[in-house]
Amino acid sequence: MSFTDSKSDATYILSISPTSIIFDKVSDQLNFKNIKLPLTTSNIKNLAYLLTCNSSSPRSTTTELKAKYQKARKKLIGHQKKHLSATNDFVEVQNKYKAYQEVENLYTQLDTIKNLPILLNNLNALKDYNGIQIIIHEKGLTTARSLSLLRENEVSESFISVQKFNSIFSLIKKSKHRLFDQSQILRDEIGVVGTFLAKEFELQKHSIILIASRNDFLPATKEEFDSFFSTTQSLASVFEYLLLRDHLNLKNKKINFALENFPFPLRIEEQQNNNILFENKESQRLQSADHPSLETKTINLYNDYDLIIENPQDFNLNTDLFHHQRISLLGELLNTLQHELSNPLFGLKLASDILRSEPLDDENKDLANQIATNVNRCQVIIKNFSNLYKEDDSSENTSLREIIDETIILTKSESRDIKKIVNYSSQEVEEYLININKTWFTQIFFNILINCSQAIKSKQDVSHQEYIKIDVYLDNNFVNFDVYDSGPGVPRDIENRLFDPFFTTKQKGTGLGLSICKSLAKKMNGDISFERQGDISYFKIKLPITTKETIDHDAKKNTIN
Amino acid sequence: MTLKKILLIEDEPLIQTSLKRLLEKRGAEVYVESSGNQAIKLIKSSDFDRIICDLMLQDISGFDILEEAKQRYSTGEIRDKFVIITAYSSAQVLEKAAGYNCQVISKPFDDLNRVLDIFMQEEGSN
Repeated sequence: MSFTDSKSDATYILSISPTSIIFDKVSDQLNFKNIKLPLTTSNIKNLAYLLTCNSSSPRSTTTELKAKYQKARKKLIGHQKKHLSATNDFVEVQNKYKAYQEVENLYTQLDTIKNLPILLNNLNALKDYNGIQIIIHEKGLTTARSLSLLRENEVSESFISVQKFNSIFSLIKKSKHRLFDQSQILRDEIGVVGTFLAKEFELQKHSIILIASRNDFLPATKEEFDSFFSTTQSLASVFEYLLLRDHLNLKNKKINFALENFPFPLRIEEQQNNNILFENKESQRLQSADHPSLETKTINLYNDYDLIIENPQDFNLNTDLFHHQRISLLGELLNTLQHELSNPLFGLKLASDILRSEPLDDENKDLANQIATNVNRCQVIIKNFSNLYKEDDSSENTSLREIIDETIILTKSESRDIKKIVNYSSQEVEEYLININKTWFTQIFFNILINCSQAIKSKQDVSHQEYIKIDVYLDNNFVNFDVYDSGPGVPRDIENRLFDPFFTTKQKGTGLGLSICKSLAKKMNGDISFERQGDISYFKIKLPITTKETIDHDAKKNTIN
Repeated sequence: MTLKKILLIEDEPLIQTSLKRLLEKRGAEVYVESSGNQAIKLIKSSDFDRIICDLMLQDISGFDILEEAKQRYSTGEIRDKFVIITAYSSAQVLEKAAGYNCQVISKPFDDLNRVLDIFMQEEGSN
């Protein structure tokens, strides 16, 4: 298992070989790729290793960080010695020592990177500068983060493009005296006024520009100049440490999230006194549900810690997590199929049209008609299925009836023998044109309908009166779809977890269906929820109404003039 | 109606045969071609009132044919003569096609008769 930054640097990848969990830095979301996780002992050990590395767990001071700190400190002291021996002036020595001490204090003072300009401003050497700006570029990202001290203790944050960052960076780097005014760098990106001192830093993962100005037009004196540079020189290792720590914190946060939501109960205890160091949601749930005599499996970790896995049989079952992979493969397959089949199907359609216009005897005419009907059916099915897997974020106008009917056709094989009842609150609602991403909508409904059908079939005594009922009605600026079924219902103890990723009650489920539905509904500025009113419960899908037009049949023509 | 001379460039055999027959029924003289390169030769050597061109051919794309046709026809003539038919009406394709100003019809046709009307239209009447 490894935890790496991907090339683009916009994502983190947690690989528990052969699984990857991808964290999108930008949207702060988790994606799961290639989910097939054989939970072998070694994988679990790896997981636990990540847990114990985690800064938010009690064993927070990670060895990695400590080493970095030590190294940074050593470097700082090195700087110190060099400078001390180079000067004979006792006062200067003392001042410099003070300055170094201040800088060293930064290691422990900073809580978030955002406050960095404030702390820098507190340094003796920089306290006379009321304009402090620091621009940080993390290598690989397309924007650099700029933090400017506005007034005391107030920092404004903005982002500038990497191109602009680079041009300022190289300008500063090439300059000998590092003293600028805005006639040299007259850019919007510089948040200070008047003359300013600037220094650039090149770190392991970051490039940094530090700008200090008193917001006036007097050039800096030699003393100011010296003090600025002697202090800033020692800042590099501090920046390095702080930024890497920030980086690691973020990573840990993401790892923690993943482990919290990991589909299997995990818990880490100290060997000596059984103190629980970490417990994920699944484990907490099992504890609170008070499962009788939960079997556990203990794996010894790094001398002091035990990893407890509850219910190890579940582990061994583990696991048809191939589902997700199969689905994405299916999407590609369907796409290819659609493209390969639609041309010959169209040929068939044209040919059958010709046949039907020929003078034929009744029997042959009937055959030709049947060919035409079936070709149509094939075309509709192929089109609907490829809509289900189409990756796009465009929306189109469609009537509520049309899109619900289309989705119901798709679920036919799973929902055979189950009556589908769609109640529109009025004729107007039925014909209602909604501007919607059809793919997303269909995916949500497809999932819900399949869930309902499977729930119904799981009953002991499936009768001929099984049904799925959808009530469709408008309410403020939302269209509501309330979905009921004659299935056994959702047990109360799991209803809060229905939308959690990985939560599933099905033997072969991935637990991703409803969580994907939820995120799709949110993407459309709507929501999906599970509602309970007394004995009756249902799924509610709520989507915003984006357009209201009368149905325009001409708009549906395929011809583009 | 004068006898219309139509070149149909389409490599799906059943679509080719069927459209040929449908157009002939409407009184057109229809030449068919599956290969894009052969079609270019035909376009350069003979006169057609209308050229119906699929975008996805085995050898080259319909856009290559349009480019070659520029040697013989003005942009105005291309706009009036050519009708593009395509199964891949993605935004990019439509945008590219818009550059030639000719009509684009996506396959499968929703309304066959209307599409045949377009094929049979007099040049420049749309």
